[in-house]
Amino acid sequence: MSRFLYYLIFMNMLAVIMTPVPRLLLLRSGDGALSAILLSIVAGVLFTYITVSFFLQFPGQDFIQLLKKHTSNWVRIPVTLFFAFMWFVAGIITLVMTVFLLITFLTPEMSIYTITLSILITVFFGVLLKSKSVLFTLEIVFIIMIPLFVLMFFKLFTSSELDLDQVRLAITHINTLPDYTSFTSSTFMFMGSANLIIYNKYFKEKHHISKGALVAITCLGIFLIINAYLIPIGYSGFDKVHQLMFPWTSSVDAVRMKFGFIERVVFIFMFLFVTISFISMIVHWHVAYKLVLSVFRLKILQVQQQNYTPFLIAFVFCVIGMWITIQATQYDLYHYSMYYYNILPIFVAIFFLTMLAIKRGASS
Amino acid sequence: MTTDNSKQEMPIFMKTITKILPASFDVLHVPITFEGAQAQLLFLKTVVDGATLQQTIIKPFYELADEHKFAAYIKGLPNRIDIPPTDDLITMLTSGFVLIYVEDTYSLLEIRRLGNTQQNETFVETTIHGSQLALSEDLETNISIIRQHYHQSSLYVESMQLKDKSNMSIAILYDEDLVNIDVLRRVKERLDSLDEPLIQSSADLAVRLTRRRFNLFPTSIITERPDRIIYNITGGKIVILADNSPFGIVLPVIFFDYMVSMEENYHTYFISLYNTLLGWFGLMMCLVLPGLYVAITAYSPEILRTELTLTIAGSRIGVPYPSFIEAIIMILFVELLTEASVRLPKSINAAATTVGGLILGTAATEASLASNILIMVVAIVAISTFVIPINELSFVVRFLRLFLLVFTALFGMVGLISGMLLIILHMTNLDSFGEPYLRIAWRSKRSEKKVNQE
Repeated sequence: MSRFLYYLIFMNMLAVIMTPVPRLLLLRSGDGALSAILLSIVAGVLFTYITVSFFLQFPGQDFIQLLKKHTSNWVRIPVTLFFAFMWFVAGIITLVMTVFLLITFLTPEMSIYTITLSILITVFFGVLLKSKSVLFTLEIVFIIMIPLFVLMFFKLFTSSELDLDQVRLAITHINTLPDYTSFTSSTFMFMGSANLIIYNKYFKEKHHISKGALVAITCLGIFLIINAYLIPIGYSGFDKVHQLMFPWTSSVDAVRMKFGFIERVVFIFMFLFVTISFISMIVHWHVAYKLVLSVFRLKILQVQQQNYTPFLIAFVFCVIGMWITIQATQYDLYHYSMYYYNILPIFVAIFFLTMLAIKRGASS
Repeated sequence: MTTDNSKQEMPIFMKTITKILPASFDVLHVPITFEGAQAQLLFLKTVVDGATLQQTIIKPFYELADEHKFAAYIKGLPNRIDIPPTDDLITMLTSGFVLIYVEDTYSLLEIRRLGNTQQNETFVETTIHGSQLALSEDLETNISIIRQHYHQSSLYVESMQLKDKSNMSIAILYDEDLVNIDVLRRVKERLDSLDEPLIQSSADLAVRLTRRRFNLFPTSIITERPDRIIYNITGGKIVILADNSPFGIVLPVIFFDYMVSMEENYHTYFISLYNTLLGWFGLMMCLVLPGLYVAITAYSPEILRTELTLTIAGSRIGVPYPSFIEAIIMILFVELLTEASVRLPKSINAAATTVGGLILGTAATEASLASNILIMVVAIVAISTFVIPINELSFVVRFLRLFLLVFTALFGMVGLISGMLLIILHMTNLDSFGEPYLRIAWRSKRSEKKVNQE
């Protein structure tokens, strides 16, 4: 497996803090969240395995090319648009959540327009880059962030504020039946490999998916889902944690760094996760943009050799993102993103069916 | 001063050439006769080396005193070439060739007066342990310097002339076994398609080699150090040398090349690692610090621990305007100071820096027009800029920190993160002659230098 694939998968796992997933899980902590999480780990690793081994059969080809080659238009266009919608909404959820977090914790007196604009300017340029450049940026951001990750986990797991009894209490609820929304939302964490539908174009070498890779993905997944689910419980208590609007960030604010320039470690984490959410938005919207571009390429926007359709698409993305961010309330965010996670199984079903169709088409 | 020696008729071809050449004072037509032997010379006095001409042409003529023997002698000279087409011939005459007519045949001899063949001392990229001599200003001397540093038969030197008004001769050097053929092809295509009226130095050429017009980041390194040139040639890169310019152009580059100081090769592992980290720390400091100051004072003071926040707020007491204005004034002031110290003659330089830096800095805080902490920030920023090993990059960084400052002033802490990402995104999207500009190459140091394709 190419190292960039790991980055894509890990990015999705890390960005989960900047999505409503932690709260959706904690809301159901008494009714089957933990068993759903365990189930989702199995499902997620299986999804990763199937997706990656599918794309390994077609090195250097993205999903758009495969669809064009092996299926007819009436399959290709709806599927592409549906996928574009899914990726676009994934980006929107991260955007709205990031803006809400920033306005709550970092810059409360700034206007929501300004904050959204500051994010969208960079995302606009990021979306329009070459796919290869997006991957390079992803890698560089990861390298820069590694020391912060180490610091973060060290601080989180060693702090005296962490109450392990509460964690044990949460674990006792493992025997309840898994909950549907918890299952789908925590599976979302493992779906980073689905980004291959565009980025597979740059994975030209013949790779194979090794057991070690799967184990690494599983371990990191478990580690990060514990971080997203059990850490807030450990800091805020099992009974009250679901009352917090941003449970992860609020809970982690308990950690202090005694001798640092920055006393409240949560700001370092904010810095880390805001950066991750930027890059996650860019990756998701880039996929959505490429998918839309494969369906629409307006001839009117052709000026000499330059076609301005990409700019239009990215601009429309940003405008919709801006509009939704301003309209949405915190309740809307959690409410509608729940629907999004609930339809993820439909996406997976369609995804696998088209894979099957492509495979049929390729072998015949 | 074309002599009309009536004894000797000027041959027709030479006549036409003389007509094309302007009638300036340094165009010389010299017929020489001795005991029945005859020869005619045509050259430009100011570009031809008189002593060599005397030694190798005129003296033998009188010693041999025989036209046939002299013609044979001329044919045997190593710097003789056959007559090229007229247009080229004219250019060659203006660059130091001598047209000689003897025994009904024409020959062209290169007797060029060489420019400054002295090796300069390193001036831009100084090191403590590395070589103290830089390139000279003469193309052939420079090629010979490189050849003497790099004894490999695979070192390939191609020379060509630019088509602009300066007709500058340039040399492309690379190791045949290591060079990336695609990049070489792109560079040559670009050189052929150059359409500039005048190119004067290698820095000029380096800028023109990039296709995009509005650039911030340079896509090649200008260096004066022979050891850096060799280091890059062994890494499979291409070096372009230009005549009359003491700098070489290294292509293609990745961003990390700008952070390599030659000093690092001359120290033990940990020392050079420490120096590298120091360089990167300096780079980050001078990029981020002004923005960070504005973000912390104006937008999110709660990030820092309480005592530190109070100290900063305390030092800003009495400053009448927002921290953005304060920061931008001081940064611009330091920029002026840096520019001034570059432009000023060396003797006044120190005085200007002292007056500007020390006195104005103190006065600004005492008049409470800037906080003490900001003066510190600005000083750290100014110093860190000089840590960056390649000068071209520090110019870019000086521009970028203003950009980050404005971005932060508009959007606060998020703006700083956003701006940094924007810079990274821009760099990853750039390419230098087809090679990605910023990307991490996970290979050993030796092969990392190589221009790999992925």
